Amino acid sequence: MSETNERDLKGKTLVVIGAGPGGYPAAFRAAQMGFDTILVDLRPEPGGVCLFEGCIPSKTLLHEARLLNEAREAEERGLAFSKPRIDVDRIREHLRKVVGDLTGGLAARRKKEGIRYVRGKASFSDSRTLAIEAAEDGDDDVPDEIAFDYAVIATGSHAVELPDFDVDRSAIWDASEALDLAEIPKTLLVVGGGYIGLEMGTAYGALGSRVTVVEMTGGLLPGVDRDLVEPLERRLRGDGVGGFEEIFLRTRVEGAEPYEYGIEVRLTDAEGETRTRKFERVLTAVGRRPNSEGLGLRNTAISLGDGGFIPVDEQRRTAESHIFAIGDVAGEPMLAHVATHEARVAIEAAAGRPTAFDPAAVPAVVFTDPEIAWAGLTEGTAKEAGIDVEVARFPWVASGRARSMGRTDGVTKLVVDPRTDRILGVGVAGSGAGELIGEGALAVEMGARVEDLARTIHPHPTLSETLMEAADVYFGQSVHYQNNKLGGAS
Amino acid sequence: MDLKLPELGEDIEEATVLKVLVSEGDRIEAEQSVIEVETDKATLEVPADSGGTVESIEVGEGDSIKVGQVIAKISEGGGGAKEEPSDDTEEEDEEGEEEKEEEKDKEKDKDREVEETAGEEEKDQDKEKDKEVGETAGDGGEEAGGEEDAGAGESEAVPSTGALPVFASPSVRRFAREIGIDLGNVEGSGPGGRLSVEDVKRHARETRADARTGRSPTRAAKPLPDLSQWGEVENEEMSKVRRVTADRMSQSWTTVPHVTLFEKADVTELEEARGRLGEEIEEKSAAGLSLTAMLVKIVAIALEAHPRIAGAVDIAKGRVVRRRYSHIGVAVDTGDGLVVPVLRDVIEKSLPALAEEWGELSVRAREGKLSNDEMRGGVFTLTNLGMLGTGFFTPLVNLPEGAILGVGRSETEPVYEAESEEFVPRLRMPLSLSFDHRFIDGADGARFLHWLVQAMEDPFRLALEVGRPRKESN
Repeated sequence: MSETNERDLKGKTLVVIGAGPGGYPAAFRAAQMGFDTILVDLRPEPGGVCLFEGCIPSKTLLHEARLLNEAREAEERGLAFSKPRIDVDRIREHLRKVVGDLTGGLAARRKKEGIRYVRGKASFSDSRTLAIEAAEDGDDDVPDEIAFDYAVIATGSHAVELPDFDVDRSAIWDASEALDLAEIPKTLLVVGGGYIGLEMGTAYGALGSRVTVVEMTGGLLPGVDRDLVEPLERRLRGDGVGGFEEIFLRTRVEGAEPYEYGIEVRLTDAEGETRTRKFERVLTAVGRRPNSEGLGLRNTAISLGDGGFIPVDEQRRTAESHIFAIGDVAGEPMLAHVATHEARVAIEAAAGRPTAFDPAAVPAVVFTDPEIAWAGLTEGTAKEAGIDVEVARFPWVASGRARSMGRTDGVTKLVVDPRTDRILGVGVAGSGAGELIGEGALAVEMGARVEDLARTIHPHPTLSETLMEAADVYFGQSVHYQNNKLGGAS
Repeated sequence: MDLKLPELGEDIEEATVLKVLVSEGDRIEAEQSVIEVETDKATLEVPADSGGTVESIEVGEGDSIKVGQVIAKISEGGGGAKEEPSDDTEEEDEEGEEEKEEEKDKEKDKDREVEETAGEEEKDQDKEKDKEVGETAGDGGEEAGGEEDAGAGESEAVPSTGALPVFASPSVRRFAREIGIDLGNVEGSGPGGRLSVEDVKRHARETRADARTGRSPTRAAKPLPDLSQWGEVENEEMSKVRRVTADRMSQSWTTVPHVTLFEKADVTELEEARGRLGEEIEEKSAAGLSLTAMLVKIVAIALEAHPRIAGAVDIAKGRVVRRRYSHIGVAVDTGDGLVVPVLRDVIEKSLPALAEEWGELSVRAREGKLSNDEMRGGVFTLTNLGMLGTGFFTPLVNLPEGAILGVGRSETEPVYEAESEEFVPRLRMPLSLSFDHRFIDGADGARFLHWLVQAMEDPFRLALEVGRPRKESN
């Protein structure tokens, strides 16, 4: 089968626009399947926001932050270090090296796969042709036009900016700018209590900034189950390690004035009460918008849907069946790993294989401390959709491993279809939750039932046992947590 | 009897034999798998059409075989070999038999053991299942409003799992997609109803077997090739009505052996009467006296005289269900697809009342405002393409009904009158009657159609038709 495909695909040109975590896997897969593959991006190498200024550098920084916080917390347990010396230049260098190693590796693989890399900005001049505007600092051999048989739009998204306040723009960062690590401000205001804001706040908090968060809605991490947010919120609001200075909910930034060291911000809450606070830096993380403008889509049959996303079908085909859109530009959830999976689907579809984007579980991780992770159906979504579910929770206070780490601030929960005992969703809050959720995603995707999880031996003592214990809780049979079946579902 | 390689799917002409699952001399049952083959789409098992003894196997593992090629020769009736045993092997055979019997008993015991230990669990599962069915049935009402399929107005017996994803692992889902099986139609045999590759294969086998015996029409459509490779294309999403129509028409086309009869009715007098009476009635009722109202009325009375035509066939139960009500559906072209609103109790309603009701119903049909109930329960359907100039055509039976009448455009034609020995201009209406030949024979259909024609030509005949006592009609 693959042989025939390769023969058919030889000589077919597939161009991928955007080389992020959707675009570069799409290009690699296309090349492996036998397409003549071209990857177009403005950056010198593949990687996109994720590698250059998103997931990878932010998680690298958060790893350092976690070390700092763990060292501080160890003091309570009788393990005291001298005050850490934070060399921002070295850290920045380290971030750049991590990014450089990864993108360098990608670039080498890209060459090996025989993928042509065009540095420039692409826009459709018609549904079979792309006009290319070469990057200013790029090579000269960039073509003006690329004719293609198939195209994959993977242009990603960009951070939404705050309204123009009459202040020095350099004092206002978005997440990417914050990762430049120009300095560690004494005070930092994070506008937006979503995952990007809280992650960046956590990192800068550990590095020494006093962090304040302002969120427009009634809770941090809107959309996430409250019982998963609770351990994080408790820590952020606490006075101990990892605590933020202040958290304002239902509050907007109404105005900003410059002052000697930064920006004075006017905050107004839902009751109309106004506060002013001074910050050296303001970090905005109020959401992301798809990069769907300037692509020349009006020269095709594609028109933008709600929120500026490109509408696609389950094979990620746009209104033009030979043009695909994947990743952030094709809709929520805007997650790198979703884009990567969509790349697989789109390329398989282009190669004429029966395929579909039909995950039962899309895992998501918030890399705060504690981390929050979930996969599949959440309790909140079930409620909204009117799906009857039963929830089993295992609090980490009953986990030997959590105790030994001194991090009992966590919970593991299962969202279950009570008619079949099938696991529909898994949620974890706690230190290292992101590493645990893979098992949850597998359970949901494989259609595991609670019993399957309960009867799988989990290594002791590890945090992964909390998944097994939550399964036991569902049956009212947990060894380490006294409860009954309904006790967990309050 | 020869077991041949059946159709494995469109465009699949040959397959490779992976494994031969039976040996010569084996006794096999109908539907038992004989060989496993691989096509470029999937691996499938080929079942025996009927039980018997395997006389010879005509293919070997690794062979490439064509659709229609003989796989094995199977003697029918549970073993010709056994019926004429040669003397010297008789004893052996009997011993063999005994051994086999013993084995069987052992197996039975084993089964019993398993049953006993599993008994409780199974009971629980059954209970769960009952609960499930009960709940989903209860949920149905609430969900109906939002559920996309609610409008389909059919298969309401299938419990919906609502917004839950398919209960199958990614590899099973990929397999089903590749061989074109909709997992929503597959019953899962795993715990809690989880679907396995085996379940998908079984379903594929059954639907193929069903297609052979004409039991079930559903066959997954072959995916369209990428048509844009040959030039510009445009995609139009199918509306819900369109999709339901597609589904129903392929159901009808593949299950119902259609016969269509044609005859012309002389409607000169009928049209005159309609014009004359219509004027009178219009003073009372704005709807006047529509042709549709008259036709449904005539059809309803004709059905009373020909109850077989008002039947619905239930092949599974082996019976024909005769409806003693007179709900007649009339097809309406909405521009967004075809809908068939149903006029209730036609036999009891006056022509002006029917005309008025139809006027209102057809307007709402075109606006897409019909409720599901208004499109269900018909005994017979009328479809009129006359206004578009069509003459005769071959309408498809609207399941679960048994017959449908197509009305064409009336034309004034020269008709030879024997009495006056000359051609006279007469208005003649082409009628096309399609029916389900599984339970309506050509003669039944011809009688019904001819009765209709005569009734239209001489409406007085309607009065001769004294059916069962009716409620008072005004």
